[in-house]
Amino acid sequence: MQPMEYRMYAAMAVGSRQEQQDAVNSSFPELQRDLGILCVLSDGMGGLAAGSRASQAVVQTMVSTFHRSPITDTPEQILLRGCCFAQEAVLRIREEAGETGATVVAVLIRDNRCSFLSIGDSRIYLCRDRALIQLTRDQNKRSRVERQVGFGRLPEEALTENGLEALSAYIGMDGLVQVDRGSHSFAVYPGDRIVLVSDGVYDTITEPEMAEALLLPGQQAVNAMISRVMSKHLPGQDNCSAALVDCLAGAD
Amino acid sequence: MVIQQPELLQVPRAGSAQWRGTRREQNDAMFLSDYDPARGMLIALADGIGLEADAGNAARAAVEAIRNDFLRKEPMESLHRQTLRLIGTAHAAIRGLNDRNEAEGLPPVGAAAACLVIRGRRAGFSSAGNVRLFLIRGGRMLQLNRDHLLSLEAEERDILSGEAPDIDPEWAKRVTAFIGMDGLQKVDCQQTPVFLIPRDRILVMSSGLYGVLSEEEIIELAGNGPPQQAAEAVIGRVRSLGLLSQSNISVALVQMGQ
Repeated sequence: MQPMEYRMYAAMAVGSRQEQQDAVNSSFPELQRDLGILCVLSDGMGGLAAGSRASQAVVQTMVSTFHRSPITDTPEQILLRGCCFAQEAVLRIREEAGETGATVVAVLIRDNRCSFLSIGDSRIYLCRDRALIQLTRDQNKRSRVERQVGFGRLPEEALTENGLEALSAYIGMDGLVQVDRGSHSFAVYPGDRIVLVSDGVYDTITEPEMAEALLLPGQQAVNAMISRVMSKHLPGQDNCSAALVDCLAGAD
Repeated sequence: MVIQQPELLQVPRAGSAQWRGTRREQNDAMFLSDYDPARGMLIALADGIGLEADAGNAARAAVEAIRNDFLRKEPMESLHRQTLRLIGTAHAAIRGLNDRNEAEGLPPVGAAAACLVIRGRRAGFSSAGNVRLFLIRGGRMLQLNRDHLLSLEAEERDILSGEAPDIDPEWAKRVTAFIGMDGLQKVDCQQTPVFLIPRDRILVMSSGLYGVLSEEEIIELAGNGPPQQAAEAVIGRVRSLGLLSQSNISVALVQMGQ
């Protein structure tokens, strides 16, 4: 198996909010040959006092769990355990600072295979042959109501109610049990690009606009994505952040 | 300025193949519609759960309900809402079957099922259980839907509650969601459609193929040649293995036009 190399890039903007409540980070790139790479993005709950603390805690906890995990742990175990510790960290912040929470999306690539996980409504996309495929499911009230309408348990009118974008799962919620993750890891290949975004990105720009930005190399691609968001000058623009993991053919 | 690609009409081509394996009955059921410019194309696959003959009835009832609903109604809704409704319709059909079974003192049945609808260059899907959908793009494979398996849910439950993962291998392959079950909630559905590009293929397969062929073999067989021949090649390769025990296998394959 030809080892691959992974490079991570990120860009973010505050938008029209007072503070940045998104957080992004990755594992030490120097460790990727032995451990693989982890990339994490978290979006602190808007309007809540400790949102930025929560998202920072989620990202730091996920990354430190990755660095500390024995190599015998599977990527899925590392991701789930990271969420478990992140939940504990955010619950401690809740005790000190009041109601808060955060989404998380994380990808872990090891041995040329990618595992991923999401709680909340941040997203992960795979960009393969210049076309995007959304990997994660949005965990919000809308998706639940749509299932109930599809099964005839609720009338169509339920889809016009307010508040459907409210999260149905997030780090810091009581009794966290709902995790969205791929059933199995998938093989990655040179040229694949894995993109993590907060809702401040995909609520403002379309998938074709994201795909267009991804025609650019590395840092320019995520910069272009965030610039595109900000160029819309939307009133009330949410914090927006994007991270990109480029899968490259490794040197022998 | 965003340069957009016009959505040129691409008629997908499809093929399918089934094999009973070493089982006495074929408990999988499948339907592939022709491509209709307004409705698009439907692929429905159900894998019956229950005693042998009854399981097959459940799978056929599910697929028939999906087919009838798809052909009867003009699609006025988004792909994901349409596929959710199709799975909901199949669920109602099996619940009706179970009501009749109960009155006759027969055990309940169910089915793992998935439906895929392609309209233009977009694909939407819904599934419950362990029928799998894969996107094959440029000779590389990606599972689009989620499995509802006890092994996955037990791992999540144990680790999130701070326990070491402890899963009985006998139970690990059990499905945790299927149509016809009481209180079905866990239907997998992607809210945003998959945007397909020329030569993309989507493979829908029942659980009988799991662990029998490697990912590389599936890519080689399902990723090349006309869809009908490719689907038959997958089944042919499994048959050639001559396994002493082999579940029912169903494979449906659709390829976007050039």
